[in-house]
Parts: sequence; structure tokens; C-alpha cells
Amino acid sequence: MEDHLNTIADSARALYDRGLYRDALEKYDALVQSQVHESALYFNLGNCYTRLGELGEAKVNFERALLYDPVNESARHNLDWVNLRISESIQQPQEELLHWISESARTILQPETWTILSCCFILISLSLLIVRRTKMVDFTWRWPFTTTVLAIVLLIIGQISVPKSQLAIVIERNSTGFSEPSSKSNQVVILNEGNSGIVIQEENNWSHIKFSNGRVAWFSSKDWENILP
Amino acid sequence: MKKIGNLLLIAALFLSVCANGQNIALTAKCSRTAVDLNETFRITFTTNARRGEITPPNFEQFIVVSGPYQSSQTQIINGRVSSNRSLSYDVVAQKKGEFVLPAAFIIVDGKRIESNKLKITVKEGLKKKNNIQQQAEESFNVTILSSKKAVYVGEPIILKFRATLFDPVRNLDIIQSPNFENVLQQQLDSKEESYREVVGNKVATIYDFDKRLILPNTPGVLGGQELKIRGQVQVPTGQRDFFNMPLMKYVPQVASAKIPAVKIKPLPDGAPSHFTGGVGSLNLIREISRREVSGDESITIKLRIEGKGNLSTIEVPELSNVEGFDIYDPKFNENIRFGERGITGYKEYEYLLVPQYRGSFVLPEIKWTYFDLKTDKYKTVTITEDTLTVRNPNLAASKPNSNLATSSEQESTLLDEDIHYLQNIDIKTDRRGLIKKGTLILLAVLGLCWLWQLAPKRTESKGSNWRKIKLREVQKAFSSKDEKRYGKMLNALEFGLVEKGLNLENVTKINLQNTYGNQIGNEIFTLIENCNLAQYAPVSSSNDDSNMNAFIEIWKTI
Repeated sequence: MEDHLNTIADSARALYDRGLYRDALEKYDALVQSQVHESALYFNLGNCYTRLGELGEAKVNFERALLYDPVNESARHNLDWVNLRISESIQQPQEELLHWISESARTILQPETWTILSCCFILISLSLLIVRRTKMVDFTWRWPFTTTVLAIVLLIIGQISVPKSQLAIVIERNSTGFSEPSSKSNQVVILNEGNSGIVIQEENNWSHIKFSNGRVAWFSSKDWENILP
Repeated sequence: MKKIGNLLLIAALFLSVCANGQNIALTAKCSRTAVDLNETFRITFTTNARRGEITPPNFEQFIVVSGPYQSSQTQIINGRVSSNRSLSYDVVAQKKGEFVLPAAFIIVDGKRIESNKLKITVKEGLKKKNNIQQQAEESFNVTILSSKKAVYVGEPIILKFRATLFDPVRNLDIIQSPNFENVLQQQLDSKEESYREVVGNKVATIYDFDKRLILPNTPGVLGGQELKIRGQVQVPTGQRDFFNMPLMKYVPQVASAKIPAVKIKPLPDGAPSHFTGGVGSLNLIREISRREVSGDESITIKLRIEGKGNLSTIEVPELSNVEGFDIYDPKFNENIRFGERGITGYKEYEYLLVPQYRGSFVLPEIKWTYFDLKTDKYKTVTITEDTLTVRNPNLAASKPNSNLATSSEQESTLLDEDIHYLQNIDIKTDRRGLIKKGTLILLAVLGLCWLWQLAPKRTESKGSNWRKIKLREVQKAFSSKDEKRYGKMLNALEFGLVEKGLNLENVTKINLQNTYGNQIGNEIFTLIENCNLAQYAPVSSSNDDSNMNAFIEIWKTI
């Protein structure tokens, strides 16, 4: 399976090198469909969209690359490059404290690694508890307790570090915001490609978006794409 | 019975031999060689060949109204067998003149046999019509109605196809659609309408079955082949039934309609240089999303032609290069509606301008001309120049008349120079599910383990384990009559005494009595002595048993 996916990745790169960006994009999309969620994959997708001039989609994918690997410097660079070329009339919403902790944790280790580390401590705790109960009755309970606490803390960090984001980005040239989830209601705002907001509700192909300035509006869901796929 | 079968077989063989022996021929016949325009006549191809497909010629100058009809027959006259097959078509002429219908052919045993060619003369008013034919012809007609008699090039016309039915007609069908020359045409979405109306002295059913929007693109007269429809018309047979009611029958009838004479006028001379072919009541609009940008923002400019006119054939003017900005390839939007009122809607280009320098830049004036049908004059729309200001401090100041590359060149250069190249993807099997399950199981086990720790401990003393082990060792040694069984018993007793701080080598009876009481102390002392003695002298099995029992009793106590 991994060999097959590697072959797709290689052919995508070859297509990209030949300037066939749309074809390369399809290959990378096939990898995403195969449940590969790597920062480098989203980075490459972002590059394809950039070459095709679809800067909204490019931004979405560079943001995803950073979501999975906050220290991906190339993704940061390319995202800045894209941001320079799109018009953001509304400032990107600031992430909350928990999101910052999550990103910091991912900067140190991947969520899976945190969980595996936690498993190691659970195994140590188990070993100590079994020994204490069977062989060494005088062995103090403080050691297994400490390792158990450490295991739980690591597990919580692992859970927090799993990428979570409600951020969405406009991928169409223009997206009109309405006061209600109906195109017959009042127009509230028109946003250009690349603007972002927090999705607070989704209903019948309409997304309720909140912006950094506190304003909210309903947009057609097809104009927006969530950062977390 | 068998004889009859043999006779039939011989007869069949005889028939086939006779048929094969004939000269194969293919003939073409026409029911009439001189026909009226719109008159249906029959062309029949007949062959005596028993095999092979008759391939008809191309009815280029005629319209096949119905067919092909196939028939075959075999005759035996005075012992001579003949058979033939025929293929027939009902056709109608498209126009007046003399036409030669090319030969049909059949291939038999690899040999191509061709029919004769048919010469057909088509004239108008040639046919002498009887009453039934006259009635059938008058039972329905078809017309093409035009919304205008004279139009300019690029001005839309609406054509309505109408059938007027005086008698019951069934199976109405278009057999030839008009192919208008030098026009763009669009079929309009309209419901088929029928209503009753008095035409002449008769009540007729009017049936509008098609509507088309025509956009002429060259001056002259609207032309093309005419519209032909066919139908089954009900006519009397001249006979009456049992109840003295006239008997009716349906006969095929074709009706045609000429293209209406619409004059297409050229546009007046003296068109301004900005004229690109727009005709109608149009307008050019330029929309700018913002005139001043401060951060890393871009500007969207829309150029839109809207109104009523030949929107489907005109181009939106392009945005000229704006210095200080990168202009991306525009996005094209259009919404054009074709209706009985003409062509309405809009088409637009949407440009994205990304600032490259800081400063003020001029958006040039745009002039665009169209021919206004309301005034029959050329009208020029002028969009005055505008100023775009970039205040981004991160950008360099504008360089007037700098030798900037074209926007697309600049864009590709920036793309090549600025974005980082692809990364290597480390494809790993998704183990998240496995890790999650494993973690949950481990957590559950850990929880149980902690509960196990909290569970009450057994009342046994902490030395109970080694006591059991020692007792088991001694019992095993005694049951197997091990030579060192008393040594092991002494060893066990030594462990027990050490617990109480006593040493086996220099233990006395008094010490034991002080520690365990008189009775137990005496018993232990006796057992130690027995053990010491038994190590050097043989002991009977009954003594073994009594010593073992004494040891077990003592072991429980100490």
C-alpha cells in the first residue's frame, strides 16, 4: 500500500516538474483521499494551486501544512507569499489559548508520538504495580503513582495536540455574506478570495461565519473551505 | 409421410436451382416521373435476387417522408418459378427542377449489380388534383412569422413557426427544418400553444410549435431552405357505412413554409474606432473594489457590458496595463438570457490587481462604442480615468516609466523565484486508530491494576510464603525418603528460630521454653534432638511419620 502511494507521489512530482499542475493536483488529491495527512502533502497541494493561480485554495493548503507541522518553514514562507497577493479586507481571527498550546505541543512532537510516549509510561506503571503487589510488598506506591500521572499528562497533551481548527477561507473570487441563510435576505458583506473566518454553524449548504471584528454573516458553503479537511 | 417429405425437399432444391439460374437484375421505378412540389410519390427498387441487401441511393434532392417498406413474392406459373423483392420509399421533392436519382445497387456473390437511374421532374401546379387531394391539401398549412420586416446586422429577430389546422390532422412532424444562412440562431424555451381562431370563413386550430431567436451577421435578405412538415390528414373516402355515415381515412400530406422576407440592413458608415460590433441598448461599467490600499491587499476591477442587445457575439474590452500593479488573468462571468424580448443580461471580466510599488497610479480612460437601436446612431460610452493609491510601507516607491516586464512574465518570474519547491512526502500507514485502541486498553489495564492495589491484602504474615515453601520442601523430602530429609527439617527449624532471634547451634531447652512456652519449647527441643540423631543413625518409617507430624504441629505454632 505504502509503495503504491509513494508511486503516486513520485508521479505527481514528475507532472509538477513538467508544468502539468492540474494533473499533479489530481494525484496529490488521490493521496489525501487515501487518508494520508502529511504536512508535506498539503504543502505540495498548495504549490500546485499557487501555480494554477487559485490563491484561495493555495492558502487553505498552506494553512493545513502548518496545522500538521507548525515548524514547516517552507509552508510558512509560501503562505506569506500567497497572503501578499490576496486582499484580506478582514483580519484573520486570532486563535484561542488552547489552540496555541496545541500548536506548541505539535511543535515539540507529533500527536501520535505523544500518545506512544504516554503508552510507555503506562507500561512502566503497570510493571511497577505488578511487582509491588507480587514480589516487593514494601515497594512504595509513590513511584507507580508518579509514572501513572506522567502517562495521563502525556496522554492529555497528545489529545490537545491533535490538529483542531474551525477556521475557513474564501476560495471563490467573491463570496457574499447574508444576514440569514438565504440569498433573498440582506447582503451584509462581500469578501474576496483568501479572507478567513471561524465557522460557528453549518446548515443546508450555508455556513455561519464569525470574523475577528465580532461580526457574523451567512455564506454559501461552496465559497468557503475549512482548514481542517 | 416420408415420401411427402422427400418430395418437398426435391421441390425446394428445384426452386432454388431455378432461381439461381435466372439473370439477376435490379430495377428502380417511380410512381410518377413528373411530380408537383410537396407531392408525395413512391420510389421502388425491385430485384429477383434471393440474396443480398438492396442499397438505396442518396436521396439528396428529396426528403424521405416514410419508408423503407420491404416486400417479397414468389410465383410459379406453368411450372416456371420466379421471385422478387422490393424496397420502397415515399419521398417529396425539396425544390423545383429536373433531378436524376442515382442508381441503387445490390451485391450478390461478390458481384455488384446496379439499378437504372430515375429522371424526375418537379414542377409547381403540375398535378391535377381531385376533390380528396384538394381537401387534403387545404386541411392544414404552415407559416413562419417574423417579429420584424427589416433589421440591422446584429439586431435580433424572433421567428415563430405556426401550423394552421382546418381539419383533424394527426402525427404532425417536422421533416425539414429551415437552415437560416449567415445567422446565429437560438431556440427559445416556450410552451407549445394552440388555440382556435377564425381564418377566412373557417374555424381553425392555430398551433405555435417553435420559436427561434435569429441574430443576422451579414447584410442582405434572410434566406435558407424552407420548413416542411408532414401530417396524416382525415379525408372522406366517398363511401358510406352501414349507418349511412361517410367513411373517412387518413392520408399523408406535406406542407411547407418559406423563410419570411426580412431585410437585413448594414450598419451605417462612420463607425468610431472604438466600435466592436455591439448593437442594441447597452452600457459599459467599470467597478473598482477600492481606490486606496494600505496593507497587503489587492484591488478587484470589473469591466461589464450589460443591457439588451447582441451580447452573445460581442467582447468585453480588456483592461489595459496599469503601472505599479500585477494584473492576474481575469475571471469571466456572464448571465445571458434569450427571450422573446431579445437578448438581455451581462458579461464581465473580473481582474485582480496586486500592488507591486507604493504610490499613486492612473487607471486609464476607457472608450467603448455600440450602435444604439433606439436612436439608430453610434453611441460612445466613456469611463474617465481614475487613481489608485498604494500606501503599503513594505513596498518600494513607484518607479515612473520603469522597464517593468509584462504582468504575466513578472508573475511567472516571482513564482519561480519566490515560492519554495515541493517537499518529500513521508508516507506512513495511518496507525492512529491502532494507537488509540492500544492506549485505551492499556489505560483500562492500568485502572484495574490500581484497583488491585487498593484491594485488601490477605491476613497472612509477610513470611507466610517462605514458610509454605519450607514446609513443602520438608514434606517432599520425607515422602521421597530423601537421605537429607532431616537436614532439611533442621534447616527449616533454623529459619523459624532465626525469626525469634534464636540460633540453632547453641539453642537450649530453657531458651525455647522462654520463647515458645514450656510445652512447645520441649517439643521443639525434642524434635531438634531427633533430627540430629536421625542424621547419623537409620530411622524407621514410623519414626519418620511421628517426626513429620510433630514438625507440622510445631511449624504451625512457630
